[in-house]
Amino acid sequence: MKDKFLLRMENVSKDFYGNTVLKNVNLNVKPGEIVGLVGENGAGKSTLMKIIFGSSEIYETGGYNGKIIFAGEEVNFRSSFDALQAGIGMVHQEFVLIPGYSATENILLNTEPTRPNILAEVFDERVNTLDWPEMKKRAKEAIGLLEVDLDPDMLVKEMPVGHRQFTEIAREINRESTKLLIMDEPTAVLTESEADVVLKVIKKIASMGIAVIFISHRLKEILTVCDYIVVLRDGEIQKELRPAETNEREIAEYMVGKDLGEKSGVNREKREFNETILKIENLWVDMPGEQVNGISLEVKKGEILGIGGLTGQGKLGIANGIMGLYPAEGRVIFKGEELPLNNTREILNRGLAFVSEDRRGIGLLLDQPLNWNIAFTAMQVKGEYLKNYLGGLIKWRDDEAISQLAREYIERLNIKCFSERQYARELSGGNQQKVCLAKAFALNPEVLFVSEPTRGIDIGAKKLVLDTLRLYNREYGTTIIITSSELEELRTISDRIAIINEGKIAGILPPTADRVEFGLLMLGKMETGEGVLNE
Amino acid sequence: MKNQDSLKTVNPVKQFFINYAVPILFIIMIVFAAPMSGLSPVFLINEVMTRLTRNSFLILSLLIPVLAGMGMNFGIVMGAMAGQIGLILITDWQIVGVPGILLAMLISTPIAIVFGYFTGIVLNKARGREMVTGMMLGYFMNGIYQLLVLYGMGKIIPIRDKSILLSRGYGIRNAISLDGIRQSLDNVIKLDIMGIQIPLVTLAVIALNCLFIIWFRKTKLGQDMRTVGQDMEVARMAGIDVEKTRIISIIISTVLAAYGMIIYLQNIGTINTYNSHEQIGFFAVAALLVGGASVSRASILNVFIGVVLFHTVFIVSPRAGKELIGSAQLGEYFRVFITYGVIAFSLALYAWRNRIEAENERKKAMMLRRASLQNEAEEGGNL
Amino acid sequence: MKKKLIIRTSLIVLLIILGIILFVIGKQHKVLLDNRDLTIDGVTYTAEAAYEIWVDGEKVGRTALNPGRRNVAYVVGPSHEIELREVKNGKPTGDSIVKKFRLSVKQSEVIINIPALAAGSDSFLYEAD
Repeated sequence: MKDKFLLRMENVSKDFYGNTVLKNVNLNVKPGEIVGLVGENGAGKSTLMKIIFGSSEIYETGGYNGKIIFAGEEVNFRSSFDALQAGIGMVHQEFVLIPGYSATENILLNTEPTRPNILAEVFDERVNTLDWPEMKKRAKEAIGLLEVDLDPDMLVKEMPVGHRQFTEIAREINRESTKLLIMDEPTAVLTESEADVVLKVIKKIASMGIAVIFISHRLKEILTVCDYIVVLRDGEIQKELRPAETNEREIAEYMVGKDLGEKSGVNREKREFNETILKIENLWVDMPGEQVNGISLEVKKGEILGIGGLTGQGKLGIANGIMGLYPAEGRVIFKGEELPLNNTREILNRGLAFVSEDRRGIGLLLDQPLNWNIAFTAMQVKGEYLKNYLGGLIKWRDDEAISQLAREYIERLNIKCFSERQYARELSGGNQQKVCLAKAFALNPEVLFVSEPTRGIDIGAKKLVLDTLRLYNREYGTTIIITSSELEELRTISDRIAIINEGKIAGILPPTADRVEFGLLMLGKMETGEGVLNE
Repeated sequence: MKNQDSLKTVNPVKQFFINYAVPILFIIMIVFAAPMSGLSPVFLINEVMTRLTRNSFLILSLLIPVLAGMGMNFGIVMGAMAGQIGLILITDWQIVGVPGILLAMLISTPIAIVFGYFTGIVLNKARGREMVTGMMLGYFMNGIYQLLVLYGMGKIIPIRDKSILLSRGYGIRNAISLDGIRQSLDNVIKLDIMGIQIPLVTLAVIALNCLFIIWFRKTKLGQDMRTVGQDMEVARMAGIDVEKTRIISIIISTVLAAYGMIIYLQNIGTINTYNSHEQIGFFAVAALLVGGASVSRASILNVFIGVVLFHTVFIVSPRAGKELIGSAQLGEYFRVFITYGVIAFSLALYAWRNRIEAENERKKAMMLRRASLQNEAEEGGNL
Repeated sequence: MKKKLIIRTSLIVLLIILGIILFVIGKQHKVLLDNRDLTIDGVTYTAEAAYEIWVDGEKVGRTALNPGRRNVAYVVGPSHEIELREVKNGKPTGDSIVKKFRLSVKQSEVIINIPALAAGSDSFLYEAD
């Protein structure tokens, strides 16, 4: 019996070390069909794609449960190469191209036609010489199928971004065996006009009988191009929708889920803020994967501002850019004075501090004791906890003062450790995070940036960290700008929440706003006006 | 327009001088030192010709690992050892002339393949630090080589020729004279044009090696190596066996280095059993860098420019030193100083240049992104 | 797969054969030329005359080899030719004697007895100890 479906997934589940990320997913795809896949961060999209594309990561972490039938046969890929052989192609979000190669070379990467050679009889087929005329012919054919304007001889590094994407797609098409193409946010890095061409190309591919699984955060694109839309949340398929019978709001609703209402612990305290402490004007930050494209924002003195949005949209770039960890352009005015961008030390001196999302990388000195960790930045930046000799020529660490400071914070933040001399590496994630906070607090900052403060720590510790931040804000009036992927977390602590989409502010909402509103903003449905809270 | 200012790339003339700083420095040195040395042009050209035939093959062996993105292969020292083992054996067996050279190459091939395979495996484990690892591996293998030559030969490997053994009865002497094969490759056909000696056959062998490299680059394997060299992850995702490809590149390099060492030593005529190979890696790498190559890009032309410039400086500098300071001994110090200096300088320059280029690329990409986003916004506004 | 194995094996065999050929044609032999008395199988050849000697067309020594003297020549490869011409009062006399001889790879050092060779004996060549 011939299967009318190209891909059938039956009750596919996957857990990583007991942590369930996919639950009983059923997905059927017919040849030539375009399926849109929508979901928030951590909804399981990428895991699902990794399973279909046979990523070795899945196999190495114990495989998956359930059945996958592809082209009438049950499959269980051990590596992406198996998936490629079976006829599944993937267009990655980040380009998998060689910048120094021409389009032709990239399209035919490792599938180059060759001319036979006697030496191949002795060694390997790989000593055959490349058949350039044939290579060019095939590249042109693949480009011709896409009906795009792409110069086969142009080097990828000289191409506009859109053409790079065409090159990737052409490579997948060139494989004659390709029956299913997974496209993981192929339009994320493209401008709208470029994206439109990609959408046309997707339709063209589908008309050739190739099925497409299309992932995008741009709902408009999903609605225009897909035959049906699958919404994932918390590892489960929430709903399958037909574009004709749905709208953006409904999709967003399924994506973020229903609001828990009063029970959710959302911050309902209405506070008034008048004075502007930080004014960001047209900020551009070049942080790989988190680019900021011209953001303007005013931060009020004493507030807790949440910054949310989907991964890769640029929310992390804001704090990193202002603090000078990644190249930034634009104007940031702090208390009426312009901050020198890209000069971390000076910015720290002025009274801004940053708790990085990269706790183990730049947040902590893992092989140093707690007391040093806590005092380190204060020592470096402000010259505190140092004894001066010979009129400041020789500076000696004041171990007594450092230990005292550390003990104070250990007590205040309830850091669980044996003593202040314990190494940072030996602490649990939650306690490490508290050390990072203590380190920032020790600077007595006026503005504190905190990025992903609860990533990778358990629920109890999460609450402690958030409570610490709230307490610090209330006690000292410190302005806190908290960036997080977890919307609920932002809603419990922030006074207002800015949602970042494609490197820009999609809108600013009070924490009490409906979840769906946030969801729509994350999906790039811009709000007009941001005065929701400032009325 | 502010945007266009930032889009402007570095001045091409400046770019040229930065890219070719090392060769330009050497040309300047030669221009000053050559007349001062008082050497006749014919003598100088003859000397350079000798060095060219002596060293080129060895330096050519560095090219393929550069293609595969593994940098300068200091592991050619192991190829040199393999070549020397071949030469010691044919000396003992008293195989002379061109057949002797060919037999030495034949014997050294499997040894070099084994050494290369081993090196390749180790370098695969030390990804990103291939050069320093290769260098250290050279020192380590030197120990094994010495064990073999100093204790193994005459004990385990029978050596009949007592004249190359130490007086205690085993272990090879410090210096072996290669009377049987001395310059026998160079002398097969030797042209004499206006006093300049041209060893045609050696040059033909070098040309053959160049042709091999040119051909190799056009093969699928060559293309795969280029891909691996550009981006290992992309290569892996395209299904190229990255590890195997890298190992093959090192094997080819090691085998070529073994042949190169044999050609080098037949020209010199003696082996310093325990020293000849040691400096080979450094001298070859320095010469290639002087030729304008970098860790990620090296061509056949770089090899020849490098040999000529590097060795001309060595030929003229002791004489110039003598004229200038009155001591020719400075020459040897100078040689070592220049060699290590060139390597250090080139590597630092390379790192610095890469950083600048990455920064420029980044700036350019950001400008383009801004421009396209702004265009779109304007178009959107106009509609 | 099998085809490749056969090709590879035969190539290796070919290379080994090449090695052996190179060994044979490149092997250097030390040939001692003795103009001395020698007794073989009860026959004694006495050295009486001086000879000019050519080995493979190259003259050995600047002057003639006098009785009781020894000279040395290095030859490469398996088959060789020796030519003798008697010298009297500084002038070559009589016909030259030409003799071909073969050396195996094991014979690193051999002695050619000139008087025996001049007398037409076939056992003029023997291995040095």
